Amino acid sequence: MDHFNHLVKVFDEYRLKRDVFDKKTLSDELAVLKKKNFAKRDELLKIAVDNLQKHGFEVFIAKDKNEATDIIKKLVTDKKKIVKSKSNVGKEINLTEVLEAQACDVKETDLGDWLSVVCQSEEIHPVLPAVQLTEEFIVEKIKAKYGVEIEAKAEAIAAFAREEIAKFIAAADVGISGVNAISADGALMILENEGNISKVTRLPAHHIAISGIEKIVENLTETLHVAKCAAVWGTGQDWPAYVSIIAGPSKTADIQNKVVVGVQGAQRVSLVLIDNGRSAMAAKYPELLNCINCGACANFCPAYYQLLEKFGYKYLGAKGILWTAFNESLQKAKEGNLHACTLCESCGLNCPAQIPLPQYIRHLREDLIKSGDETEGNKEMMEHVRKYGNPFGEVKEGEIPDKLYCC
Amino acid sequence: MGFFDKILGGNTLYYPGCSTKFVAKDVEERYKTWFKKLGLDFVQLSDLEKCCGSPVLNAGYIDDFKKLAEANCDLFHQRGINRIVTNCPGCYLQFKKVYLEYLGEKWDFQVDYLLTIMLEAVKAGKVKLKQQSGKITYHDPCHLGRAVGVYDEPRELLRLSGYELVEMKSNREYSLCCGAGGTANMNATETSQKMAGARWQQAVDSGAQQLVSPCVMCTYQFRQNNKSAMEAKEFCELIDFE
Repeated sequence: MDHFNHLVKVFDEYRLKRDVFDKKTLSDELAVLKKKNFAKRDELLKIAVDNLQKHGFEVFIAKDKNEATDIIKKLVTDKKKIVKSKSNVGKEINLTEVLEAQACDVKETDLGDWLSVVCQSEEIHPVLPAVQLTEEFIVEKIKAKYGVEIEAKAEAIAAFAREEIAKFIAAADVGISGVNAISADGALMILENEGNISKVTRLPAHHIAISGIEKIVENLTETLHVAKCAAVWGTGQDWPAYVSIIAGPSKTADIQNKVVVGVQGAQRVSLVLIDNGRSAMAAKYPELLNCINCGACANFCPAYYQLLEKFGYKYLGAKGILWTAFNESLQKAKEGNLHACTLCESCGLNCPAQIPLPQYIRHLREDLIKSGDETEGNKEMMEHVRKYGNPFGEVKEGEIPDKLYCC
Repeated sequence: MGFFDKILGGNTLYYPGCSTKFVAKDVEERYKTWFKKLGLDFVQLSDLEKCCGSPVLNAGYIDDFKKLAEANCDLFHQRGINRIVTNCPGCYLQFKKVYLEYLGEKWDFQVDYLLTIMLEAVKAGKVKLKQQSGKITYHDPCHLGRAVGVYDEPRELLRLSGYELVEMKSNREYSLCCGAGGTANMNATETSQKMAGARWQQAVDSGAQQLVSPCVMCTYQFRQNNKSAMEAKEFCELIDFE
């Protein structure tokens, strides 16, 4: 399949839907909100933890991915049935692999993620992980795995997936979700279109939410602004189908006014807040923490169109490369094709959180050079520039340089 | 501009940029004729001026970039330059925007883009474009389009020259990079070539006979990665005057 033309078409349709909104105002407000909260992030973290605990959350703070997975392993214990909704942080810390290693049965409930598992394909986009898979391809894979023949239509596939996924959720001991924003007054905001997150966070007895520490905002109103921007830039929608505000486990006082925790929703709610490089990011690349994971930085990126899941690592696009340097290492960011970025400015222009992505890419390249890692091309170009004042070196009369080190 | 002005200051510098100067000398010669058509007196500093620093900055050599910017700034002051005109989108971006960020008020030159000056002269009736024919598609160089917001002027000049302009699927703010920029052509060659191929595909699909870009790097990137029957032209090659 020609994925290039397919992606151009998909994101052209996305753009037409997205661009009917007042992007400027929404984006300006988001950037201001993020900047303000960044300035008082330590204070907000304390307030949030305090208020979440008052609401009945168990709150954990993990400094890196090992600490995070250790905490979650203890929370889950062995051999449990786990359902997951889409979580970028989960991917960041290799959560599925870690839990499977302790004999847990981990099932994805997001349709795109489920399709990626069924079709054994890489997730190629943060919001549309299986966008490259055709209906024909999917139904073939479903037939191979489940032995059933389904019409090669999106509706039929979605209906089959609904039945399958509902079975996992009904049987699950634990539901693991990501978080879109955390209100410092003690609640999680999670948005979705499919309805799987509502089930994952409510039907199993134990809900474990995992989130980066950067997602804390001051109040619920601010979480809704994040939801709005995530909808507009994520999928070109005015609003996601569902926005959950979760402020603790389910409870009732219907019997003799006695509070019983754990009624029809989750009985236990845990939140694992993960740093994993974010504090280091804050020092030199503060606005990177503005990211709301909408994926828009990849949507019109020429390098992403060619490299897909190889442009970045756990996170994709320019944001992905930059985050990889902190979640993993500078070397991993390089392997995530840091050098394939053409600095075309498309990511910066499409980022609702106004992260100066192109400028940060330049600085990350500088970090790499200062760590002693220079490409052969760069070395040669810089030798020319330092000696002759131009990237081509000594160009004799009537000659044309063969290597075009420029721009 | 008189002789004494040239000595005392107030000079206009034509800065073609390294790609134009060293790689596409024909393009430089052609753009020089534009200055004559415009009646715009200019000086050139050839080997004295340094690279604008665009590839140096994009490769991550930020300290070297600052040195180049300082050196150019000092040289231009010494030579009595007060206005810089360039045809190169990469250099234009540096001089128009990036130098200001790094040098501040010290960078006090008027910076103009040659195509914009030409369009104004054509519209004012000072220069007459030779009428041409043919269906062409215009590729927005990233440094000119997204980076400084020049989308219309080149298109307008092509239209006024009589060309039928057709757009590629991705254009203007959503134009796709030719793949050469940001040092990707030398540091990620395979992906860079694929990006060029993807853009060629859009150019062919547009139904145009020729692909045109006012950027030497884009043009050469397209030429070096061309598997189509179409030709890639530098902007000046498609423009003629009466």
